[in-house]
Amino acid sequence: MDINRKNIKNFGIFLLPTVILYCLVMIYPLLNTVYLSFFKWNGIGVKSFIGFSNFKEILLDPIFWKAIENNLLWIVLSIINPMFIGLIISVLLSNITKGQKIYSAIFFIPVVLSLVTVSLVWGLMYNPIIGPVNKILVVLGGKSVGWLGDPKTVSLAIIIAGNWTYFGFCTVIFLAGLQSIEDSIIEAAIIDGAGGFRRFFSIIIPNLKNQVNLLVINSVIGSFKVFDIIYNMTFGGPNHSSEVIATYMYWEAFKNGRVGYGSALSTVLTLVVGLFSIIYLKTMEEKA
Amino acid sequence: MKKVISVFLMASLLVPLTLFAGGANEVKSTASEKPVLVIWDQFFPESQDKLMNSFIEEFESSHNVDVQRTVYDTDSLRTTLRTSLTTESGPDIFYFDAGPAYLGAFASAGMVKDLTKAYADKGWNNRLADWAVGRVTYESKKYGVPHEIEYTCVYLNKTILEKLGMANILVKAEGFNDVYTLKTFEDYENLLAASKKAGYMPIALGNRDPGRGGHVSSYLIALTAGRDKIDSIMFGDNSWEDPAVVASLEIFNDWNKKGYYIPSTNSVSYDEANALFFNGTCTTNPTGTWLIADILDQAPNSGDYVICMIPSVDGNLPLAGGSGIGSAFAVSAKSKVQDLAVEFLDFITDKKNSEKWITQGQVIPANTEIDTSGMDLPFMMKQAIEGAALNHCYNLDVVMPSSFNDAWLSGLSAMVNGDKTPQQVAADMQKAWVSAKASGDYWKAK
Repeated sequence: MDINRKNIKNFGIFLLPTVILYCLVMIYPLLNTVYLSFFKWNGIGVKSFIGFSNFKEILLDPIFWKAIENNLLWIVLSIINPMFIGLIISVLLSNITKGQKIYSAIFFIPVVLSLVTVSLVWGLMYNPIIGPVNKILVVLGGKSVGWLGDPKTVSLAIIIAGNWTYFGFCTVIFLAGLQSIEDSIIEAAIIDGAGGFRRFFSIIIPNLKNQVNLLVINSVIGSFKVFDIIYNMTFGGPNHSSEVIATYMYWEAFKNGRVGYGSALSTVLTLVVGLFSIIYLKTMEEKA
Repeated sequence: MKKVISVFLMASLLVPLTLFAGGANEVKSTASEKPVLVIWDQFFPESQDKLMNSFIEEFESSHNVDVQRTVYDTDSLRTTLRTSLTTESGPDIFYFDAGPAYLGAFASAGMVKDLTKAYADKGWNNRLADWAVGRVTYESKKYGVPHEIEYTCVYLNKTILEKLGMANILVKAEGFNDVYTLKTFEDYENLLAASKKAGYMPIALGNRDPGRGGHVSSYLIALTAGRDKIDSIMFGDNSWEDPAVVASLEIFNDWNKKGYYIPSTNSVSYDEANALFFNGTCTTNPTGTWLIADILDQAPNSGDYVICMIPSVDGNLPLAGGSGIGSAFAVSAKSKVQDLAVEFLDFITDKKNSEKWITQGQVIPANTEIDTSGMDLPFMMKQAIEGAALNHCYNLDVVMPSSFNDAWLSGLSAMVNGDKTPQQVAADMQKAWVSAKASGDYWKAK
């Protein structure tokens, strides 16, 4: 299409309502949050300008660093676990024709569940008295564990519940990727004598690069933003051991009445996620 | 064609703008021109929900008003109210935590109507208990109407007591008909030990939800320190590292080490702990009088339970729990129907309706005009009403700043996991208290 000045003007006019709405619900709140991070404010009284004090406090805040540690744990385990499980299941599904759609739908169910529902269900699953997880442990000769009450296990327990809601999404994405690999490539590999493992690592995995990139970015952003499941299962406890940036930011802003500090935490989170996205995409572009 | 496009674009611009517009400066009204009174409350137990609806129906029939009511859980109301009160679309009346970090903060910010004149005009100074009114007073002005007197206590499962052969440890408190206590604090600890030995869980504590351990800790502080000492810390120069406070934390910790709490108590929620108490798995439940409505609604046999006020640890302090008024009614400073709101509050806290709160809502109102002697009440309600006359201490998490509560309650969780000692928790509490006082974030009653 020949884009001339008149077309550009029409494009602009058509885009304008959406741009205005986007600015109102996305850009304005973002800029307002950054603005608030330079103030001491309880959300209802007078704001006091305090410069970078909130950011200085963040650097010295042990709970912030614990939250970052937990976010990084979420990232690592949310990349490895659900993607690995999703890949295995998608490879298995790609080898069947009968029932493939039904199995895909079943594996996708956790993805569409509300995280509040997931929190309630897994909270009961982990219950030290009546939960099935501990009952199975005891039957196998182990001891009941306070999964959500022990700082050593709480983050892992919640991450497992969170990963459960994500592996179905990975399965569907990988399945679509597998189905887009040309049969001729696989057949050629078979003719050349490549076995199952060789085909998997040398042909299938490289051809799923785009899907892997998509899921990695999705996992990282989701892991930085994770909130509902942690808030509903443990409120970030015990003693902040399952805290992540989003829950800490919420707690400070809305429970402790420190909106300025919560905004500063939110600003830091935005910067970290933004920086990661830029670096990752640039790296992928260069590799391509 | 150009005209069609222009009209379409104009419409698509106007539609989102109308979302942000709207009647902000008008009194809310319905199609029938009646003023609208918006109420947000937390009366979600079935009995209280029905009662509130009946009050609204009666008020609407006698006043030219349409009342719109929304019920929130405590957590949601705490977050929603903070933003909604700054807009015109918030409630006219809200039922909210009366503590300095909550209603007090709103009062300081000018978001809540000063009701001092309403108190004088409506005679509320004579109607409502002095100490309860004190909890909604900030810098000598009254910003709320106390409604629900509550205090920490221990519920005992009488059936388990009988099975343990310990039903006789319960005695009537001196000067009271229905307030039960024990002869000594050791009697309670002996009961806990016997329960554990018999295979019961002695204490139904689920500490996963923030604050639940705090109720037990508040109660223990009342039993070791007493009202005067706590006042000397909150309003004087004493410290949370006082040996009496540390002693209370040591008892909390000791009970955990002896396995008296529900196993992995930090993993168990408040509702799960109560469910275990209701199904006869736990012997005692140290919580508060607010649980009466839930016991009557949910427990298979509410007659199994009795309230017991535990004696002080050294036996020298008066019988007391940690008291509060929970939530209080308040009127938004931005309400356009403030007079109607005050009328409604006068209506639901009068003598007749206060009696209904007792008999139908299992709430102990702050109204001092009520005579309960002729009422047919569940026994626990009679106990709770009579026990309100005790010289209670404070339910600390309602009157202390959020930063203090965070240090204290997180500290309790850490103690349960063996990560902190009672001395460390007391030191953290004091550090948070000093910091809160320095930034002015504490209850200034006068």
